[in-house]
Amino acid sequence: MMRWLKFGGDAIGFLTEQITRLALTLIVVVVLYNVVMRYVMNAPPYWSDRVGTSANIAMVLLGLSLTIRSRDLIAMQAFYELISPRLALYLDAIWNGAIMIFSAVFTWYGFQTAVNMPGQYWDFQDFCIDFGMQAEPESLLLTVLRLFEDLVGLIIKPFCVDGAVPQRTWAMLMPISGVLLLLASLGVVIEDVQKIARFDRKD
Amino acid sequence: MTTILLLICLILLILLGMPIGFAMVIMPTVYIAVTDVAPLTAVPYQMYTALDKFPLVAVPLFLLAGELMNEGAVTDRLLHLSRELVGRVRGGLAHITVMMSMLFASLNGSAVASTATIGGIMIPAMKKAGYSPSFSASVTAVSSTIGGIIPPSIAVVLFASVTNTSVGKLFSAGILPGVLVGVMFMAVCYVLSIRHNYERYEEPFSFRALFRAFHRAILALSLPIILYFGIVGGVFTPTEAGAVVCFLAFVIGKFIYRSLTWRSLWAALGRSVRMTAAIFLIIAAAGPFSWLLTTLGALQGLEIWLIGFENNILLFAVAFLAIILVAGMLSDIVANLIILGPTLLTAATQVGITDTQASMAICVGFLIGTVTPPVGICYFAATRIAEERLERVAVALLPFIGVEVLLLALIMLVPPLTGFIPKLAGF
Repeated sequence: MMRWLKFGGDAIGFLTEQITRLALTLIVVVVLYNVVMRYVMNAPPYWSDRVGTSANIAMVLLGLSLTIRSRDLIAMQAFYELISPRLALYLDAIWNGAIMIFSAVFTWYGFQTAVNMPGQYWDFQDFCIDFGMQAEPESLLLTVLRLFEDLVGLIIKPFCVDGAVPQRTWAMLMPISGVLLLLASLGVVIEDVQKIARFDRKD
Repeated sequence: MTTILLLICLILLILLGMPIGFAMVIMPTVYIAVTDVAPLTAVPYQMYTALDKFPLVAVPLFLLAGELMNEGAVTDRLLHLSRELVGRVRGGLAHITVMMSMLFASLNGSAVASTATIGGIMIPAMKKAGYSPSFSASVTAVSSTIGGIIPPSIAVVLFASVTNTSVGKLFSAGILPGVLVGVMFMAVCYVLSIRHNYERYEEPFSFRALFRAFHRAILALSLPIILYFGIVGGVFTPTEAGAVVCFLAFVIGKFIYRSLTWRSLWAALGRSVRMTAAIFLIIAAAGPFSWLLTTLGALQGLEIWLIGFENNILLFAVAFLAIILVAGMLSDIVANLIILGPTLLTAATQVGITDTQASMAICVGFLIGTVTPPVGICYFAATRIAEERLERVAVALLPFIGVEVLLLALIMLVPPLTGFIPKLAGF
């Protein structure tokens, strides 16, 4: 049972890690694309800032679960050096339990927030209204740039409602992040409990 | 009273080792759940709003650029150049550590990253050469704060984004204080090295070797220059500059230095994501926490209290710096910059201190908190690498922290220190 749970957790972690890496790559490419379009083509896209920010939000919200799983969260460890290893293990388990409870709260209220989130991202309206493949065999640079725009358009198009992307669509990342946080913190708590049990057995 | 209780609880949770971001977000969640002062959806809403800002996209890009430079064997080249430049002075390895931090700072901008990267190389080398572990750890930890002063600094980018200040202006303002504090650290290292008779690099000086070292590092050194002049010259926004430097770091590491592989690029992306998520958890948590403090009137109270000293600028400076130093000692730099930064800046500009002076004092002051007990993250990182006792490193840090406090005082007392280069750059 535990082995299957671990396998499932690792698979979700692996998938999340690849998505967040791609999101970071997308940020770099989109921001560079903006620079190239501004200085080379004299036609900066007005959607690039929004794509960069949205990719960053996705990367952070999804990446948080990875940070919990690898125990890379920023925390002060001085107190741990003053107490016994057993107490440190208990304290770790308590914090991870608290994170698990918060994750459940964040999932539920994150969902409520997302559902009621007002507003639209109008920066994407070109992709939503008259999006069509633009790449044609022109110069190599132009074709590559158009292909990239087509790719972004393909990603954006499914999220369009009435000619724009509703903010609530992107805010739905919060409950998704909450579920991932919940799973990651559950995994960490199980690890903590196993460590404590091993420690007790040794004693 | 409620504010004080909340702050005490927060500090207690942080000191007990709870991850800072979660400690900050759990406080408003519990407060709202208990008092019903607002719907609980305010917490995720504030977190989402805190993340939804384009200038913040610069942070992962700077982190990735630093990771790519690390993978691209830049550290070795900087070490070689630093040794040629300052290694022959008494306490050579300590000077090299400071110089490396200054050069690395201009590539990375993160104090913790500097401590981990430079400490991993320099602390074992210093211990092997007969330096005490506490001295080695303290020099490394304190030098890494230069990363937050010399551009590009992630702390400055964060601060500028929450206070709507020009990043280029603050980057310009950080150059002189960054170089000055580096020189002052070297002076302290020199005095301590003479007292303890620490080593120096014995090979005779040659311009040829210096030129060769400079030539090997020139591409790496050109990146911060492109970044700085790109931002100050209005060619790029800081975020765009981050992406351009990532691209150049990739090209240099992959095709010129040939030390960056696809596998290491993928690994660098993974590490950058984790670091970004860890930092942005605090940024996101600062949203609801600031909202709570504003709801309770704590931040306005602090501002009014500080402005109360406007008739006595010296007293104001003392109170201003005391708040920065105490907050820096008790909480994380990112949280402090986002929550207290705007309030402190408003108070300082209202009493007639220039915004560059106040901004640099705030950034430098909170940076000092990264090397001071009880919560200094660089202090712990360096101590762990040196495998030394915390209290010994704390004592060894004292002269260096004294120098940083002196720098803070100079920033407040000498306006041209932070104002001269921004003026030259046209701000």
